[in-house]
Amino acid sequence: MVVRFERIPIARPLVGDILDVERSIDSLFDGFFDAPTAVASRLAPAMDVAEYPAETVVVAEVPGIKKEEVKISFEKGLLTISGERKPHPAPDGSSWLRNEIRSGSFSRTLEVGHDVKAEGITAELADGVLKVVLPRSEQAKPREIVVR
Amino acid sequence: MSKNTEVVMRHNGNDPASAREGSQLRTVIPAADIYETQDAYVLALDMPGVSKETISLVIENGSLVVRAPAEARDGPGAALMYREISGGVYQRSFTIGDGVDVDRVDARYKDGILNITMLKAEEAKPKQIEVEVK
Repeated sequence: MVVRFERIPIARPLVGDILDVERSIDSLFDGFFDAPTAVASRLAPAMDVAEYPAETVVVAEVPGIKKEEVKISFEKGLLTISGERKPHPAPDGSSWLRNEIRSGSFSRTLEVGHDVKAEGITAELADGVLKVVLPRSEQAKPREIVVR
Repeated sequence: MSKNTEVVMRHNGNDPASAREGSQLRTVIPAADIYETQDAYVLALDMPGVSKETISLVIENGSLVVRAPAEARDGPGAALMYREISGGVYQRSFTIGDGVDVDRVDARYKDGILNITMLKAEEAKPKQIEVEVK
């Protein structure tokens, strides 16, 4: 079975530029919170897809997203996971030292390569990991074909 | 289908177990937001899918080191896998120097984010210095 992903372009944030400016003016801190590399987090969630005999399981990493903030829809064989990540609330008067976590809306769609029993689709979200189980419809379950 | 749709290369479905093993040894650097308030430094690290009990937070030699092992994923019988989640060990260290009161560090793990609040050491807090103008 082939799973088609729609590629969502991941816009590169200006993290590198922000960090360079900070490093040059923040001599007070002198290496405070030095981290080895500038890490740009992706906005579109990373996903794993595994196919099992009875179902396909899609796992997406969505840290910081609450159940009410993620939308999962399934139509005509296409599973869409979308939502919005709110920026980290920093109190007034605080100053940012590093901002690598991207916030904003995201959406990813993938085509599930088999017929799905739509009413059996389940989704659970725990510790920033969303797991969607799409059971195969009866006709889509693997059948062993005996050669006469 | 838009022209951006790509067909995923079929993973060598014969041995997902070894792909899984390899990935669990990899190191993943969690993305971090860090800001400073008058009294504290606050960090938020994206670390979805770990067990809270396995997160290790150590302060030594002026560094804060965060580490959490990879969680086992995927059950037996997975026939085809498309993997984007690195599934490795989260690890990152931050230089914190002397400005932090190491006995008063608060760490919470919620919704896949590790939130660390480090209160500043008294000497590091901004102080009003009176200057007498003669």
